[in-house]
Amino acid sequence: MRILAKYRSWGYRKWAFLRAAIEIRDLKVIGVVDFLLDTGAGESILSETDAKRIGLVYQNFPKGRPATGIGGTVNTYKIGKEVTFHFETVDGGIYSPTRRGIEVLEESSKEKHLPSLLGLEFLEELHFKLTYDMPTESIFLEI
Amino acid sequence: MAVERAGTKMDEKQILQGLREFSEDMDWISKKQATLRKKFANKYIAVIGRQVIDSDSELETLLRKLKEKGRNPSEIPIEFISREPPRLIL
Repeated sequence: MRILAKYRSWGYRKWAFLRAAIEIRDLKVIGVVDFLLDTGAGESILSETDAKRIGLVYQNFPKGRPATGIGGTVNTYKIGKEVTFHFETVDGGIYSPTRRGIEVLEESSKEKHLPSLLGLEFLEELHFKLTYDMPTESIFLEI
Repeated sequence: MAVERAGTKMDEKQILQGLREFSEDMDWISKKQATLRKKFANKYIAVIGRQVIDSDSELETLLRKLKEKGRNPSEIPIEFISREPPRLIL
């Protein structure tokens, strides 16, 4: 089973993005999110914009550990619910893994720039093999 | 598979359709960044069918306007278009 990422422009350069409909059944929340595939991120993060867009009222959840990156330290919120990621597979089907929890990153500035991130732990937990074939700009996950 | 949402159910076909429509519009935003930057600098834009259907400098205001129009923001790409392309270091 293979899931294609999209290699697209964001800011100054191109990045690999994975599109998923994420569903938090307990909260009756479902919406499509374009996740930047970030193997340098330890955790998967929903951006504040995406969280608000899909109707996730994250402020009611406990704060997580502050997240530190090059831009500084920001607040996170731990959504301790089961989250299902619905991905379209290359053959036109759906692959829908479920995992426990996701965090929302709250940016301190008025302009919310950051994309949602799918981190290394996501690939580890679901035993994905990740291929970056840069000559053809083909990036995909396999399981 | 069926997915419940606010009293309605979505099946795989609907999820796939939602993913594909979202993808087309997100790809369009990605391709048109330079043009969008000139017209919508420092605003959030909402795109459906490869058209900007609304914009606002405040995310919450844009979400409210979409809901007032009967749109479901969870199915629509919304991007902040900064005046200069942001630099992301991961």
